[in-house]
Amino acid sequence: MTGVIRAMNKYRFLLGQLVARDFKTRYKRSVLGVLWSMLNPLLTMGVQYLVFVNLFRWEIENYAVYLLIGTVTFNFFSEATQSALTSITGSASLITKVYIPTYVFPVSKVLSSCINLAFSTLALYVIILIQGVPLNVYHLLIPVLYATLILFSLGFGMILSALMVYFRDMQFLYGVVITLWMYLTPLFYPVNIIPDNLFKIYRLNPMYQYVTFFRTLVLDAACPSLEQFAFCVGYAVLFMVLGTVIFGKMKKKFILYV
Amino acid sequence: MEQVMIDINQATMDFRREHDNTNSLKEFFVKLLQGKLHYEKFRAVDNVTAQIKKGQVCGIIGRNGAGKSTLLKMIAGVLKPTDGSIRIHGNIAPMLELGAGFDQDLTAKENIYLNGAILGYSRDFINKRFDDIVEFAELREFIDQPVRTFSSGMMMRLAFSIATQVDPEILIVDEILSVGDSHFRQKSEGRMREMMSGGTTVLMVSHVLGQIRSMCDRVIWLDHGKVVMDGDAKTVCDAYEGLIDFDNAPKFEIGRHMDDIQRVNMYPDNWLPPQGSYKIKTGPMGLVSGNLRCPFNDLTGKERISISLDCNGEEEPVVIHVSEEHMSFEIKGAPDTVVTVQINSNFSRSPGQEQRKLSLVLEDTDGN
Repeated sequence: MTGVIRAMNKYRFLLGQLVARDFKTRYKRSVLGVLWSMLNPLLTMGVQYLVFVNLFRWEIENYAVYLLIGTVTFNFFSEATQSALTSITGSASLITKVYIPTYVFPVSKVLSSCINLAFSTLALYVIILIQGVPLNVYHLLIPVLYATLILFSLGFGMILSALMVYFRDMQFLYGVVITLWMYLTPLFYPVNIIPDNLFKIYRLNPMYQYVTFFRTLVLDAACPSLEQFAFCVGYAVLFMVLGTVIFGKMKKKFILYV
Repeated sequence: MEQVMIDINQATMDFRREHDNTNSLKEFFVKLLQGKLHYEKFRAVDNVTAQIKKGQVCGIIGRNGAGKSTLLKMIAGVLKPTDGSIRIHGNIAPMLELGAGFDQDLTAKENIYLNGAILGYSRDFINKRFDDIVEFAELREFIDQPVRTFSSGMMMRLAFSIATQVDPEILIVDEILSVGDSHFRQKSEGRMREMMSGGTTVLMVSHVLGQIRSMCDRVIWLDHGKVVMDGDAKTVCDAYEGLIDFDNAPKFEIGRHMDDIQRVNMYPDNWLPPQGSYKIKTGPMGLVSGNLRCPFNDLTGKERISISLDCNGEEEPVVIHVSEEHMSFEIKGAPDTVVTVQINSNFSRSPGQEQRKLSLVLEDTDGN
């Protein structure tokens, strides 16, 4: 953990440059450019809204906001972890030529995703205002939610990136896992369709906790329960510890395999 | 005493052979179940020992695959030695690969910052040197163009100018002196000489022997990961050029038994017996003797040999005698232990004589 922090500090400029590179190149040759960061979650939300409101007729209050909270949260997690997954193998040409602490690569990918998260949060607020969902004081807890979500994703992404170096199958496997994970998270369906006896297991899903935490703040206008806090902070700490330990153990031989 | 800047101590680097790589889970488990999960090793650098002193300009030569670049990467900190150690005293600027991390879609300006960050420069440093970089690369008018539109020469010029902004105590250079057209090449060679002057310690790899001869004052010749020869630039380059046909070159043989015999290449004109350190197991009496076997029958009496030894092991082994006349030596150490003998020897004979096999045999003298 201290290794990560020290590396982050010493290599802040490099991290900044890598994130700026990702940001600049992502939309470099597209016409709408950075607008896509906002348009993407909005359009996805639009499609889901059309499908689920008309086909399934779920009765969820403020469904557009309900949906968008799920999409923004899960998209961040999925993008951050998937880009972290290939961060080491994708930088093979650098790692084998210049000495750079390998922590920098997954961290820079997760930071890049944070920029997207900021833009999609903007989009979320546009919809919140349009839908007339009243703002409340609990919005001030969103930074806490984001901090834990980002740390959780970073820890998870570091584990993935290290495994990816040794087993290239990870990338295909994880594509399937993330799809399954998406369906196991209440993004577009109401939580009450989960049978009571399964719910005990269902709620262990970290993404369920983060999404629900978010909705409690914005839609219920309430302070999340102590248990919700415990889950969000707990997963963040657990995965940061796991991530740094596993990554730290495996990174020594990265160079022989990338 | 001269300060040692790079201390390479019995450094060894092993790689796994590519065809044995397990890159997928399925492959991994199949092999695990079959118990086939061991790998063939490939030794790229084999027990290399050298000390580079302050202000030395040291060249490394050798054929492709001799381990030159691997050694440089180990010194630069990119690779960690499998065995042995490498210690660096001073700040180091490795120029292994120019333009590492250039992003094709970014402009030249953006790439200067990105590449600079990768090389470990600070933002202030790049801001200060930005104009120098652009001026030296002669790319002022293309500074806002994405580098994918650059010719490879332009790209290398940009990379070279970024990489040579530093003022390091130790400079590591891997084949980068030949960048761009002849005009720029002259300019870049000038810049390199500038960087090398003023007490900078330099380690460079080049296939252009002319460059090595004119710039280096010491040369290490590597082959199959081992040091073949280490000495002044002229001697080593001459030997190297006289002997590209390694397979038919005479060899030294060192060892107690047939199975631990070590072979060392020989080169004509300036015959050199083995250099470097060898591990030999002592017998019950703790004695080891070395013999330089010289099967020449046409010795003219003009040959000269010098041997100096440096031993290490338990109970501090003692050199009992060294006979340069008989080309032999004797050491006493602790019984049944491994003694490391560092041999520095020199054997010269007049040129033009037939090449013969010379051998050095180290053996215990306890009678077994």
